[in-house]
Amino acid sequence: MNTSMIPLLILVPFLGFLLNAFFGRRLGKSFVTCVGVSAPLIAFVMGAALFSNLREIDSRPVVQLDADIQRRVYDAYSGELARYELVTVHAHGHASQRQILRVDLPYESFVQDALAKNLITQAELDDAEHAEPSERVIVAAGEVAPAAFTFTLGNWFSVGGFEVNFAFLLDRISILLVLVITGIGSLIHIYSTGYMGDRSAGTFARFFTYLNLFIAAMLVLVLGKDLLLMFVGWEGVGMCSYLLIGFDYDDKANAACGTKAFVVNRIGDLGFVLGMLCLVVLGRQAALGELGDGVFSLDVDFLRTLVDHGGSAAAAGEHGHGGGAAGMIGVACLLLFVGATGKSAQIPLHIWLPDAMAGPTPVSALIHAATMVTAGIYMITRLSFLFIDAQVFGIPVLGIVAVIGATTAFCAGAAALAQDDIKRVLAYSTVSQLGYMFLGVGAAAFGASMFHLVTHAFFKALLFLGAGSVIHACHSQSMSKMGGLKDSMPWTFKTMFVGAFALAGFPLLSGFFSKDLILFQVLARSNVEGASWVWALLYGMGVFTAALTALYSMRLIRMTFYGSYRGSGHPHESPWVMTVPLQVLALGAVLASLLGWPKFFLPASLASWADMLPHSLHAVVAAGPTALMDHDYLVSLEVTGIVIGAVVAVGFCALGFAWLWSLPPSEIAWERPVGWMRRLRDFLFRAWMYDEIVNKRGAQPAVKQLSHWLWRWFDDATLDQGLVDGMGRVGVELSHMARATQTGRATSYLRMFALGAVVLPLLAILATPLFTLLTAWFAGGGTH
Amino acid sequence: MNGLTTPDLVQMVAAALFSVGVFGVLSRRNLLIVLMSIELMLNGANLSLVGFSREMAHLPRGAAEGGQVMVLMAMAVAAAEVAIGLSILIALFRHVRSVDVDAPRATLLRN
Repeated sequence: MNTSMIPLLILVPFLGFLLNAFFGRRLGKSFVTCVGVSAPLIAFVMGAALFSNLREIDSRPVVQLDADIQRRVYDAYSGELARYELVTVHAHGHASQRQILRVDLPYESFVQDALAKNLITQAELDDAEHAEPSERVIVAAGEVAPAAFTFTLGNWFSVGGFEVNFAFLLDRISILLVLVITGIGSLIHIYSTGYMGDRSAGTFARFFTYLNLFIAAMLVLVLGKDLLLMFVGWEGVGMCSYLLIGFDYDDKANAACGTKAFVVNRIGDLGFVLGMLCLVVLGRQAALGELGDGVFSLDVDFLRTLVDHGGSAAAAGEHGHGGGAAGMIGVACLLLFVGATGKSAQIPLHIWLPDAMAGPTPVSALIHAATMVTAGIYMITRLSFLFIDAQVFGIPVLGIVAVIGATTAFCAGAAALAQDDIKRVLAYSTVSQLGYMFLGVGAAAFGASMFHLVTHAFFKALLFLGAGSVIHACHSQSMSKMGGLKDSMPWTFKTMFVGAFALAGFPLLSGFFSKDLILFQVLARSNVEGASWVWALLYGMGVFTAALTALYSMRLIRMTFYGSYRGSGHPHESPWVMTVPLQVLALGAVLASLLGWPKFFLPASLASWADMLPHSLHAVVAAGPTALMDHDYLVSLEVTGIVIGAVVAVGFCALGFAWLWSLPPSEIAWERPVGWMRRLRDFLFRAWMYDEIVNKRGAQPAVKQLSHWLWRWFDDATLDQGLVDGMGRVGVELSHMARATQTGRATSYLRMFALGAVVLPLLAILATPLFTLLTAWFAGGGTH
Repeated sequence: MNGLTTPDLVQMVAAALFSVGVFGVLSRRNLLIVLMSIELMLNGANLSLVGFSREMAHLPRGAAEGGQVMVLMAMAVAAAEVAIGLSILIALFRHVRSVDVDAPRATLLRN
């Protein structure tokens, strides 16, 4: 396997970005279309090749041998057919790191060959068959951690033992994200050629320039092995997000929305940077102390050894030193989570995402629904070993993550129920679904969260693109100006219908299994010792939010596609470049559920399909406390969770549809409630007044006051008047003094001349003896 | 006055002449007297040179004569200088009706 394909994967969209940026405007739309669309497509094909490669390696038998036999085998195959790898071996429910030799031969032929060459004796082979799994010489496939490719392009910088490399890691987590980014990204690129088709060539080129750059930055983010490299991508996607939200910057409101997103993200990024700083400090301490080699980094592998080391030190109770390190890890995790709340739009930094809808709709689909906003979940999953035991003042960080996630899911879900702008409905829905993912991550159900991430990417991208198609046809984003579109836009209607039901968690569609897997894990978590009532409460919030999700999904479909058309003009179905991606995504929104059908749902013959995606990630993420629970009990809980989920989803879909259906078709009277309902609706329409109170009344005046204060006392008083003017005043005063000597009178000049004529020769004569005297005096003073 | 040789006395007289000249230049306000004081300073310097020349008479040819040649040249230059100086003085007097160095408009050496 040629791992150099990994940086190429990033290079392809980056090349697309460069070509579009420098030649796009001149060479016209067809060139931009070719380059812009083929870049993510090529990246997707490469990603798929890497994925099949990973799978193929995982299907090979893994042979683990004693160190001296390993040496023998390695020498015998002269390193070509045999490679050393560091893997995690799972045995007796705990994981341990071990160096293995992976031989690129089928198992049978390796054994035959090794026996024939006397590399291994029959006795050793027999030992291998009967030993305990943790002692075995030969380990069957599946017991070792899955294959991962790392590729180091070179050293970025190294300062005082702190090493940062351009290192990429392609394992099961990152390949999943790579496929989602490039796959769904490709579809959205194709769609965009239709959506942006009526723009001028320059604007068209600019759009695809940003979009390709986004794909490249996102790939850096997911493939970066070093946290700092990951941060480069993290900032890159933030910049692209800013550029694309304010894409139509002629309208000042759009530019303001972009700025808002950028500034809010900066607050989160500060947390990310501080978190990294904590880890650097910790790594330095460890590298200079017990870890010993003086070299430290933010590399994932190094962080893992750091955590293992800190954990073992704490277990050994070394005078609270390990405890200090563990506390530091807790603080670092909390700060990194602050970064995640910024990027993934969680309370308290969620306010930018609804405003990010000012960008063109494909941007909302790609960046603000499917990929970038999931970066926070990805980051926590990638660092699951760090987060799993992290505590701040005795409170587990993951617990905080779960509470924030569930609260966000509920609040945003309620806000989505009252929006009129179709994109804002979807934006709040995205915030809500991201809240679910954080809830899952908080419950240490990393696999379930990643599964929901994938399914959500499908159906939310689908819904956004469908909304874009509707907006394209109606020239309005307001749902009160839509209605009755199901006949004029059949494909948009059909695909969005599927997407809305998947979002609502309708049984057997993709959102159903992923959401219920998360909720089941939360339910299971509430059966573990320690703060179980919190988890029970969070489960309740999750189920309630699922009901809200079903309601607002149905409301969206009802207001957009049923009833009679309330807008102006005659909406038509979009061109095929826009509907075909919708169809593909709709197919994905249905079939993605196959990635995680629960085991009890499937016949025994298909057992290997069960929980495929979440299960395949278990080997690469940290295991939560529920992993040790009784299996049968877990299954019963899962059945309970699924049944509750199905009942809630079906019930509230039906309720929502029936309620909306009973209302007059041509009117939107239900949008004009009276009394307390009206107040509640306004309250939810303004998203719990959070933006008004916290941002406009709280943060913005505070910032304004602070900036005024800084201007008045720091800039104006200290810098301008103190330093700048002061410097001038000093010059003026000095020159006043000097000016007094220039009298213009010949006699005063002569007087000075005479004085000089006396003093200067005197100085010249006395300098040497004076100097000698002084040095002698100082030298004498020194010795006494 | 024990220990003081003739050359020492000559140099002391020369220094006294020079100092009187300096004092005159610095203290007098009449430009004519300032010029005369400058002449005194010149003559002090000349006397010093001649004195040293006399002291070096025992040295080989050429060493002592230098001082005397220098004095002759200084006298010639001083004559020229006085000619120019007095003509400037007269021009100045015609211009401002005064030969006072500190007279306001006359001698302010700045714009």
